[in-house]
Amino acid sequence: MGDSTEAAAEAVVAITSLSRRFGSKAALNEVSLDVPRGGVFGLVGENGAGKTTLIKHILGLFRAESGMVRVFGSDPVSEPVEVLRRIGYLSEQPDLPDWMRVHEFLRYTRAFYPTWDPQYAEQLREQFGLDPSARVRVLSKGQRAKLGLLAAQAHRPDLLLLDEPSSGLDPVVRRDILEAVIRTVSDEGRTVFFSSHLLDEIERVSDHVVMLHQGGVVLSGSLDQIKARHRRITIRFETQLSAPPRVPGALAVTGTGREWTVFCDSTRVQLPDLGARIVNEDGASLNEIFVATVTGRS
Amino acid sequence: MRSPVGMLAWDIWLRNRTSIKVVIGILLFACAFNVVLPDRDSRADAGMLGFFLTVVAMLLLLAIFGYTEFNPQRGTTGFPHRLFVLPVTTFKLVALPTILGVISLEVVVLAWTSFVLRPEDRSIWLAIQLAVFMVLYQTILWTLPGLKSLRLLVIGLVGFFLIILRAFPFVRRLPDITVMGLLGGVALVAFLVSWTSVARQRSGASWSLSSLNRFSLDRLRVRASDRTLSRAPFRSQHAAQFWLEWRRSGSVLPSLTGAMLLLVIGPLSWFLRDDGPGSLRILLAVWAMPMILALAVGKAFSKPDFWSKELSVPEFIVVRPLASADIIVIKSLVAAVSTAVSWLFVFAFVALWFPLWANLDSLAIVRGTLWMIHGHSVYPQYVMTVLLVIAGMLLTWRFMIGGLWLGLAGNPRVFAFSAAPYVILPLFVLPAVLITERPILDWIVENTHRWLPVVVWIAAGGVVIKFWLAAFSWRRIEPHYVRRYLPVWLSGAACLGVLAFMLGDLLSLFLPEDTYRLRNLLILVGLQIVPVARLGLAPAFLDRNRHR
Repeated sequence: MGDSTEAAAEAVVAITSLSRRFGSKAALNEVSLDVPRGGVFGLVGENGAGKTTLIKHILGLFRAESGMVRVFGSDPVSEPVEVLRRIGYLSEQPDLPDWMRVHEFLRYTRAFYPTWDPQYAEQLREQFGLDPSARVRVLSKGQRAKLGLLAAQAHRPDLLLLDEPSSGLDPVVRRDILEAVIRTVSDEGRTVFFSSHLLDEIERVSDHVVMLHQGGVVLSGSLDQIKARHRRITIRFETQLSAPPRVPGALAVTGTGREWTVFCDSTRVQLPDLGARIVNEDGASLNEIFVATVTGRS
Repeated sequence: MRSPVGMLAWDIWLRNRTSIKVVIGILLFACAFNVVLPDRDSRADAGMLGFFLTVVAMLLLLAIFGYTEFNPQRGTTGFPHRLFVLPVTTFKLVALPTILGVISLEVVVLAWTSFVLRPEDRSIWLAIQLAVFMVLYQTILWTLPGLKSLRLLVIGLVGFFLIILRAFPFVRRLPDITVMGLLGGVALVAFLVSWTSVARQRSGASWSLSSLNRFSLDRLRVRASDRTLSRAPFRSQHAAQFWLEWRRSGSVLPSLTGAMLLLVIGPLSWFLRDDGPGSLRILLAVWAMPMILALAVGKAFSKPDFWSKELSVPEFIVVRPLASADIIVIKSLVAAVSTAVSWLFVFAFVALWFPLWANLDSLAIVRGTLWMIHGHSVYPQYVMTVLLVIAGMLLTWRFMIGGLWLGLAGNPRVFAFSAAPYVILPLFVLPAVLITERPILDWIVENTHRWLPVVVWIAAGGVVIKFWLAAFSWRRIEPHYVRRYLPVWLSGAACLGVLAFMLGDLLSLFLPEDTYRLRNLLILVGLQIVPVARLGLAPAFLDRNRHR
């Protein structure tokens, strides 16, 4: 208990029993998590799992109906200026002022952040190939994402919040975003909170992962631990099966005919005597863990 | 509806059906006017309302048949490029909006001249000039996309030229039929230019009179861009937010005021230069115009984003580290600058109009009356004029910011409800007052002893509620904001109090029964004009919108 209190005090983001409803739908249900300082924190979940709602609570754009949100030890709703000054934020479809030119947008954004690094901003602008005199409304989707990323990063925020930043973007822009994530964490003590559908990206850069399902946390921990804990076991039966075998405690069972794959949490599940032999056993990818966890719970 | 032309017309209807319904509503209103105001005197009294409604209808038609869309590839707004892939000839693409635009405008003119204008004021010239203007307007929009917003200036100049065309001596000497033929020829040439230009745009050529665009504007733009690129950073986040608010919404009121003075009031004052009472009415209109415009502009200004239909705070603003109280302060400052610039335009117009072409006979009569009331002294007139201008500025500013607490709250139902008076007043209350003008005025004068004490008590109650709400809402505001705003409120309230005191003397001529109470009423009203409570409430309402 003492350790967890200490961890919460050290945490960049500390969320306790956060719940939120939209009408009759529970968007978040008793979510608790601590985002430690430094490193990349990956947030995964299917559409409508509550990822964006969670991020909006961290930004203070949503007020907690019940539970508590603290960012850098402050309440983002009652102290938005102190909190937002230390955050860089990029969403899936960055809401940028279409009528501004690129240089005007950067000049405007710069005014809000005393830590804005003009050389770094210019370096990023050149790297991203953004024309300073171009109107924001004529930028392509990828260029808009890059501009949003530039504005989110140039003040070297303590916490970089990325909400599905690379959805629908080409590989080059996705690479830029991943590089930004890596650059941010390479600055000592900075933290990235990264939600994405693209689990291979999360897997490549994250240190910690939280998986949301129907508004609740179903999996949380360091990526290495999660991957070490989950196994993918391929089993083969003598005869063909028309339905998946019942494996108590398994997250999911997929396959057809004689060969089936069982995804399981190795700490909790022992394969019973099913009359099949184990063909292969190895670690599962984050993608497989995600699919198995979500389909298993559905 | 299966014909391509029918589909294009359907497309115009679908995209503009709300505006078209408003125009139809205005036309029906004009018909109703004719029915309920059959005698010419009352129609003449209501002529100003009819004039403004017609102007609104025409502006809506210009907006509809401007027929432009943004082209992201070129970064310009011009003839809709999406239509180029349709299996329709360019002639039909261009001719349809032109013909529909001209016909619609003529219908509005016909309704106005038939139902609102007196027979002796009717003229075929207006119909011809407006038809030509519509064609020229479309040509400018479609052929000069590179000029962007500068096209508005060109359109304004063309419109102004068309209005004063017949005042030129060499045009006056020509027979009417020749002038009409010339105007028709201009419209035809303009249409041919539009057709050719759109055809070239459709085939991928970049002519569209855009050699002109490239020749001048691109160079200008590059220079401007170079200049702005090297601009120093904003000195503070407040300066940055002020810049954004000004660019987005602050310049609207001055632009509208300037345009109204240039395109409506200016020409009208020229035509009525020999009419003394007309000049006095125009002076009143000039004084009231910034306030009336601020009523409408203020509604949009009160929203988090002036041009957006959404009432939520735009994401790129809401994630900036800026306190809600600061946003309110900045909006109030932008409204103040906007008010000041608008009134500067008014002063500039009056400074030109009075010495050059105004007929000041009626004003002299008013001044004489005031001179007699105030003990044969001219100084109270000057004081009253200055105070009236200050009151006008304060009211303009108040109309701009008075609704901030409602607009920034982000509740669409409350916002729509607060807009109800804007519909009810012009559509129901104003006509009702116009129709029954004499009985209402007579009743007011004859029954002062009945209504005045009640209204004074209501006003006093309003003042008490206002100050109670102010005390409640400003509790949470940081003291330095209170210290900054208190002198503003005190000076404004003092000016309005003195003006109310002086106006009490004037109004006692018309309502002599209870001068003392009348003066009290005016002072109480004056105390309610400069906003306190609603400004204090605004940050809390914005907070609710920011943190939902």
